Amino acid sequence: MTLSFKLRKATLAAALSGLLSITATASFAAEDHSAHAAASSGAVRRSEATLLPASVPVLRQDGKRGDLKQLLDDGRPVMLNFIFTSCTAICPVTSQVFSEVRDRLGKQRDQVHVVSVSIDPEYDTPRRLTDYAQRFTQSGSWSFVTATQQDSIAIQRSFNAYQGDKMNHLPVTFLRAAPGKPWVRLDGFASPSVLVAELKPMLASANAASLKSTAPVIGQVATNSHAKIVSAR
Amino acid sequence: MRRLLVAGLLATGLLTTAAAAPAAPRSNVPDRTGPAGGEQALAGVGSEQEVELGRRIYLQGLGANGQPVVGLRFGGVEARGSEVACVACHRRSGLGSVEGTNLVAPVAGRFIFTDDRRATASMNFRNIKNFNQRHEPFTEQTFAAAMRQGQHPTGRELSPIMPRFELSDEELRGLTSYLRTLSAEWSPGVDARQLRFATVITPDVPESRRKVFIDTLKAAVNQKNGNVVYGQRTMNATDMLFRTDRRWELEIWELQGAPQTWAAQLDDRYRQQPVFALVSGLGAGQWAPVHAFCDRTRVPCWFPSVDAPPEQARSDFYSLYFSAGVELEADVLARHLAENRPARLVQLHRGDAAGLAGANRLRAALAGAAKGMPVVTRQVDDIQSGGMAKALAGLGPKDALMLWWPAADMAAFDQLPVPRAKLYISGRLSGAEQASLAAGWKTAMHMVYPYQMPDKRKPGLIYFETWLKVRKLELRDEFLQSEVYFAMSYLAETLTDMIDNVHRDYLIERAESMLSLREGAKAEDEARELTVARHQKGGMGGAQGAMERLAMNMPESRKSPRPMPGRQDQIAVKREGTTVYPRLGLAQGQRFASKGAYIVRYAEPNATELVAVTDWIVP
Repeated sequence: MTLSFKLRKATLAAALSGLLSITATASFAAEDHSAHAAASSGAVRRSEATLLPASVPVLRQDGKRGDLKQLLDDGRPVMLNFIFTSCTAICPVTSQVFSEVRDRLGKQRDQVHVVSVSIDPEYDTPRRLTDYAQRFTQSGSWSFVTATQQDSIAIQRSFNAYQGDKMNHLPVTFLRAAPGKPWVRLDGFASPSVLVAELKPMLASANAASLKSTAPVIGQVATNSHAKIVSAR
Repeated sequence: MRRLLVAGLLATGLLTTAAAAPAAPRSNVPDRTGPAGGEQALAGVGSEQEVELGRRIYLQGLGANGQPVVGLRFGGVEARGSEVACVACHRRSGLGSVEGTNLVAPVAGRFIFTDDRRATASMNFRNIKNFNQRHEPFTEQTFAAAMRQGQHPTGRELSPIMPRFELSDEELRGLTSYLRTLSAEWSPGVDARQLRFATVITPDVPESRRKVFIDTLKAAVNQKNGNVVYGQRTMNATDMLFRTDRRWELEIWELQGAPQTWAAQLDDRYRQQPVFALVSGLGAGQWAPVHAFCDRTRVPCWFPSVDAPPEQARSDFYSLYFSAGVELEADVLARHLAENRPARLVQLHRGDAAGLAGANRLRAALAGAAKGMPVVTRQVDDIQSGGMAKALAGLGPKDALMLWWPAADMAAFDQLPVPRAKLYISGRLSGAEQASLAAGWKTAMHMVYPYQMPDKRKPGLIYFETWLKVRKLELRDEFLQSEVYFAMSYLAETLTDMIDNVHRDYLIERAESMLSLREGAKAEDEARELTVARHQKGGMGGAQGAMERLAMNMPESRKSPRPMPGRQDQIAVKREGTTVYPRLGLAQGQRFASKGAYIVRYAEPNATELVAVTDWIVP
């Protein structure tokens, strides 16, 4: 499943200073400081991995069926997490963070495909996912998906995020610039600023790529060839 | 260690149901009358208005003047009102919860405003025993610092998911007062040595079923109270240290007469002698009055074996069920028929509450899932051949027939020609694979089957079956008896994990958060323990020999490490459940532990072997 896995055991600050420009790092520091009464997000561990998301049937909150891999490979940068609708401690918090990220992206919000995968699929019917979604978003560009129990486990496994039981689940966020690119994995409570900082360069490269491509057909071919390279590795 | 164990086992006493034997004296210290720190916590409660304000903040996230309370999460994300209400994480009981590696600490006053170090709650993190950390009691100042700045008195910062609140001094005083009242006393039906339970049986249950039920239930209670502990975790290190294991007293409440009189009978029994919870239970069709009693009296109703939980079971708090019963079957069949659409559905029932509930639900579900499909519902009062012929009249090959038919009346089909329609029957009501259908009907029949397939559930039930043998009980009704066994053993385990925090809300909360974990871990545990016992020499062979060796060597076999779900080396032995259901799971607000069904048919007309026609359908 995991073909290459570059793990950097580092706190968020260390990881960020190694990966992003100093100005960017400084600007979050200032932003997080301004909310001095807020909780700090604790240690967030960043790593990168080439993952092959399971190609299994999923059901979206609007009742539409599809394949998870195809859903993720729509060309846009992806931000993904695992949730369940009757979860009360972690999920509402991470979902609210996603919601805040979408707010902060402003006009670019629908250029990022936000995906939340249920880890309690037998309870999380499309109807329950819709109710849950409405607590955090009014727009349809955030996919909440459910599957069979086995397929949900297969999806979690393909992200190296299977904890054996929904009650064991941990806060972890996955981001990817485009199909075939490595996934950025953030373990811990990643704040909206951190997620936006990850997404901005992804959006910039996605826009640059779409400017270069002369026709959508070519873009499509390029995407597919990327997928082939990944699976051949 | 061994002496402690023996003393502890003696202290639990030997007891048969309803006939109380004198409990062995534990010490000269007078019995406690409440949980550790409770009295001290209650001593500091403020005015009624303060408690009321605190209750609103805690349960609804509404502060003074009814305004939503505002909290800042990590990264500066603002949340308000119910999103930041304390109850979401710290729960109704105030005893906290565990999610992943996030331990939500108990906040009931006796844990945080007193110096009673005996106030202890188990914070299981992936099945490793873990307890709350005691600290110096909060003062007005340190509590304010925790709530507003996330500063714990020990100097550490509180978890990132704990919001930093904007609360006035008045609101903080209210909250303090309310927290002091939370879980400050044992629930009714509890004292230092004993827990009182009742089991409800409704009068419409057939006598044979009633007897199997009572025998199995009594065996489970005797085992709990007895000094031979077969495979149960009725005592662990915590019990030994805190002496919190209690004797169980079980009353059987057999209701009489019409369902509309049951509420008064239940209230009456409860007034005579309050019980901590209704455990297990047996109903035929009507269960709504018992369900309503539980929510009205705030008494947990713990996994009764019933066919038709009422509609409000989905949203009420105090009743937990194995499944939604016939309503689940109806939803599953509606989903199946929407994809395998007949020209028309005819459904038959006998007018009993369960059959009627199934038929009503199926009609409603088809109106949503298969719009425009004609549905004809017939109540069959006369099951002589004339009445049956009328009920089955006019069925064509494009029609479907659904039978919400009780096991006792199955002979009515014996002499009748099999209709050319597609045939379906309720597994729950007909006796599942044991349904006594004539061969011709069997061949054509499809069954809605809300259980795990027999060959797949067998390994998970070996432990239960061996338990029956050791308790000298016959296997009469696998579904009913294994439900009772599960209800009682899960109750024992949950109470053990609750230590001395014998509060009703907490019982439900623990069940919600631990069930799926427990099922996964328990299935692996049992498989491993039986394997270990089978390889030990001496004594009888087979499962029974293994079980007896297991019982003799219990402390030894406990030394094997608890499984870590998801760990690669343990996935090979992973089994999903210990019951007739593929897997049981709950979470906050979930009330039905099993959530799907198969459509099956018989492999051969003269056998009970089944073949799944569909995957597990979750409607």
